Amino acid sequence: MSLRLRFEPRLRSVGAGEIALRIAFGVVLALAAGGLVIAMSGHDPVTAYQALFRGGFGSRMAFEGTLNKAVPIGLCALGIALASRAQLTNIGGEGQFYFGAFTATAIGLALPEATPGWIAIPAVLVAGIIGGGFWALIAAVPKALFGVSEILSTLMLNYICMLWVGYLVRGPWADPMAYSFPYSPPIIDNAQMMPLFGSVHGGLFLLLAATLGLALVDRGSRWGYELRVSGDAPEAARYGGISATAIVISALCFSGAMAGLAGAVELSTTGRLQLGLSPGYGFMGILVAWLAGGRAVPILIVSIFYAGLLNGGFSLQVSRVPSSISTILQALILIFVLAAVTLSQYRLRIYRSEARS
Amino acid sequence: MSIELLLAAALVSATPILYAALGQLLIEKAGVLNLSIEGAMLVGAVSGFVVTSVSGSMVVGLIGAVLAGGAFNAAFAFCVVTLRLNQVVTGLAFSILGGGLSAFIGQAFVGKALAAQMPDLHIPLLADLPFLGPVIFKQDPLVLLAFVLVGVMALFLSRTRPGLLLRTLGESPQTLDALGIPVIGLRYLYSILGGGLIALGGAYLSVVDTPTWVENMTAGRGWIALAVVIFASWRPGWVMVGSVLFGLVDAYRFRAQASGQAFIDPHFLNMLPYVATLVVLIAMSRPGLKARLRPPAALGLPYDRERR
Repeated sequence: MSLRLRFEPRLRSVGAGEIALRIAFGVVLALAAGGLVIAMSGHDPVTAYQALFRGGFGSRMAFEGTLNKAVPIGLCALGIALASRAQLTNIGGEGQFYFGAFTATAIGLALPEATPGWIAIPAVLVAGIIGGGFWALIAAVPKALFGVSEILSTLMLNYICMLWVGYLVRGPWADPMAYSFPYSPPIIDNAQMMPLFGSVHGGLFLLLAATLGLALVDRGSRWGYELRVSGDAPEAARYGGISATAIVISALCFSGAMAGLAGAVELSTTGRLQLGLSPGYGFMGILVAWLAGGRAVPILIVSIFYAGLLNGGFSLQVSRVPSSISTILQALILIFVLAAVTLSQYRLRIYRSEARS
Repeated sequence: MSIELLLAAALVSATPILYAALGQLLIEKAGVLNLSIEGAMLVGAVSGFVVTSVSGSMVVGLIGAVLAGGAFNAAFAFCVVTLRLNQVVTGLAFSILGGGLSAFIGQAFVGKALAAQMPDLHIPLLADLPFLGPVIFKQDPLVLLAFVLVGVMALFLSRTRPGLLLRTLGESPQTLDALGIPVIGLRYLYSILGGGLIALGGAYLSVVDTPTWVENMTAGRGWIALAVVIFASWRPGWVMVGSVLFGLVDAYRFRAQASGQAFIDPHFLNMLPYVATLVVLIAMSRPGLKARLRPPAALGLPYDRERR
């Protein structure tokens, strides 16, 4: 007799409640797997998770830091979700983030010191938006004209841009006053965003606005409709007079613009261009966008959760558990949740078959 | 600086890329888009270093790295081949996972040194050849093995039946299925073999080349190997060419930095593999070149017998 396992598609569709349950199940499994890793290294998983939670959400100060980190993660994720409407996979968020930070720095350094804040801050942010959009355009044009895979081209552009920023901060833009640290000089004071309440800066409002923006694109806009038709049924879109070229270019550029805005926000709140500006926000955005199923409001929630993981990871070092456990959890949660949600569309069946004689 | 020494250094720089790219080639020829490569390389680097330093034997360490890379990619294959999760996002998640795991495992080993050092080969007669001797035959054995592997893989793919089946696996898995050949099983096999090779590339860095463990020590070499495979449009010979070109640039950059004189800033040299890959990506989309340079047709598509 032999046993055979098979995944069969379910015939009925799964309700939202059950999907939520599966997500929770995936998170619990990921935490259990992460706990196992912690335990094997000789630390106590419960203590480590408590420290992680305290560092992310445990105090007012921790939560404020988490909200600030949710801004770049959420903006990148919203951009990635936007591109996914047209079935485009933008994994170049990291590069678009840095190119946005670069253009924002260029403006922030060039403005006269006396520029009022109500001009300087928007100028820096718009520069970031344009920069991020431009960096995505380099992948969008070959995609639109020749069908070059945007997955691979956006990935390549990440590293080109990081090297470009590395060149700037060690070369022409190196701050002579920063000793040998690879920093640019600070942008003008009036272009730096200050905390609004507690340590939370205005970027949070940009994230909320962008979330609303994506929801509106989805709900009622003609463009949002064209993105989806173009992605899901390119033939129908062509027949309906939707230009595939315009859709690819606009979707990828707006996607990159969001990441560029994230870069400008980070630049404006820290003041200097440097390679540590992003601990991988562009990549986290991809995980967050997928975990949230690409929907606007869930992206907001998941990005706060991931920002908490990241923020908590920094404070783990105090408890002598390596902070890389935060990175491990970020990846494990995505993998387990994706697996749990996918499995909910299937059922596992075990076949017993008598061996043929 | 002598040209022999520069070339010899270039081959050493090319070696980790070459192992990783050959592993990547196997996986992608099987139709699996593998964006987890940087993570697998780091897992290989850390496990190679840890096992070598615990066991005291480099050979055991390298075997440990290969096994760890195989196990890592088996988990990846479970997600994308069996569960058919999205290969792009799952691959990136595994890349992040490998980075995190390697940092976690390696933390206790940061700054430690290895007792043993890989001896250079000294093949009689060949090593005494003028020029070729110092460039090729006075290297450590893993350098030579990497280049032998290129030939083996080229012959395997073009001249053997399993090689033909592997190419079909990435072009038209349903054909193999119709022949009664297990598509899922073969994709696991090549994912695991490829993961082992990628990890060996990482371990070469941490055990033979450097030899130390530093967090994130591959420093993007996995992504370069991924770029090299695209640059080579999935052909072993060109994978070697791409890796050696990278090695030359790397060796030149290192020399230029050491001597303080460079024609061009090293950051721009480091961009070359990515820029070249972008150019090839565009070139292979042109009608005239598409037929020769295109990726395996089923690359990135999960195989589902019921929905083919």
